[in-house]
Parts: sequence; C-alpha cells; structure tokens
Amino acid sequence: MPQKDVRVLVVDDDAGVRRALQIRLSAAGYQVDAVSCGPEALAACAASPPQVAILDVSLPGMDGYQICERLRETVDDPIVVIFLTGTTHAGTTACSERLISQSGGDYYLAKPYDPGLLLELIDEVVQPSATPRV
Amino acid sequence: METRMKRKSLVLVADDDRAVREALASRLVQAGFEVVSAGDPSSAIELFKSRRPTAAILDIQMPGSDGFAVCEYIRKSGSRIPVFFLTGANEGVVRNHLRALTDAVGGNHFVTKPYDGKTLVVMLRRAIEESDSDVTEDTQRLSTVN
Repeated sequence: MPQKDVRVLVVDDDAGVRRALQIRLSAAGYQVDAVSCGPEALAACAASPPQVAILDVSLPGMDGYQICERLRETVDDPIVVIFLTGTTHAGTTACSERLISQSGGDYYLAKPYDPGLLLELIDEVVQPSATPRV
Repeated sequence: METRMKRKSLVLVADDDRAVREALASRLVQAGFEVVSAGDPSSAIELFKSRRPTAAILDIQMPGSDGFAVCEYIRKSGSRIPVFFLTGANEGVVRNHLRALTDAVGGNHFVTKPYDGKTLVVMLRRAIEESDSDVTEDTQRLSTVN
C-alpha cells in the first residue's frame, strides 16, 4: 500500500486497541501516532496536528469529549475527530449525536465497530470533497 | 453529451423496532434519499423485489428470520447494491463475529447502534457512488466486448 500524506492520531488507553488500530491504519498507508491519554494527545496535536484524530470516549482522567473540546480551543488546524464509543457511554442515538456535536466532534462509531467502515470513513473525510455535516 | 437525469437513491430500511425505523428513515430523507421501510425480513424481501432499491440498511435480529437472510437473498438475485447491517450491541453470539458474518453473506459494512446518522449518510453515499461506478464500468466493459 503506498504511503499517504495523511497523519492519524489514535488515542486509547487500551494498548491492544491502540496497537490494532496502528497496524490497520499503517497497512492502509496512513502515518499513525498512538497515545494513551488526554495530555499526551494534546501535546502530540500541539507539536504536529494530525488530519484525523480517533478518540476513545472512555479514558482515565480527561475523557474523549474533554480532549476534543480542548483540541478545538487550542489547535487551529481542522482536525477531523472520530469518536469510538463503548455502549455504556453511547446511550441513544440522539443523545450520542448531541454529545459528539457539543464537544466539537465530527463522527462516531459505537463499539464493536466495523474496521473496514472506519478505514473507509477516514479515506472519505480526508478527501477534499468530503460530505459536509447533514 | 451526458443528458441522463440522476434520480434520488432509494434506500430499503428494515428494522423491527418502529422507532428506529422511523428515525432512520427521517434522517435519510433529510439527507436527500428516498426510503422504503419494512418491519420484518419477508416484507424487506418483497420490497426489494418490487422496488429495486439502490441500497439497503438491514437490522440483524428481526422476527422470523434476520438481516443476513435478506442480504443472502439480495446477493443470490445477482444484485450488488450496497448492504449495511445495523446491529444492537447485545446481539449475543454474533457480536464477536460481525465482520466475518457480514463478509460471509456479501454485506458491505455493519454499524453498531446507537449509530451516528452523519457517519451512516456519508458512508452510504460513498457506497452508492462506488456501486454506480461499478455498474458503469461493467456496462463499458460489455459494450467494448460487444
């Protein structure tokens, strides 16, 4: 797979999930950084903002929503934020969409998520013609 | 010159939960799709046969049969329309095998509830566009052969 000029930041406290995402995304040609918590994520974005950030919602300390809010406050670059939510966090569709939107997030996938769908979603949102929010 | 009018994409939605069905249909209509909906697998198959939708979003667990069976019917009919599965998080034994089962019946993707309407719309549009270009390529290939 040719290397793509797209950087993706993965934020998840589960080392297994981090590694799995890193392998899948790297195999798809993306440049991937992976960190385990909010402060590391904010530092990584301040140093070199990625085009896409994949945030687990349930994290110790700052949760995914709080990380996203801080990113929107502190980073000017248009990072596309995709949340991965556990079912206990997700609640109803309407509730989840509201939480994502309030924190400044763009998309979410509830777990267990389809890895193929995640890859295609990233591919779609980094295209210049990506569909605006409906 | 290309004069073909592009008609709205027709999406078949099948879910036995009326609230989910109506909320999804409303979201898709808002995004510019036409929708036909069914509350069980056999009605979904009947709608597929009579309306020939452009794409299908199928709940997995429904009374009588399931979304996998509907997808199997669609593929056996020769149709390559995009098929997405919508699944609850507590679907027992299938939970850990969703990707493999989706592949086994020829589905495109699965989306776990509660689903993100925006993600679903974006991915549905993408799948329909790819499916349209597959048909165009097939048509071009056939016309070249003939």
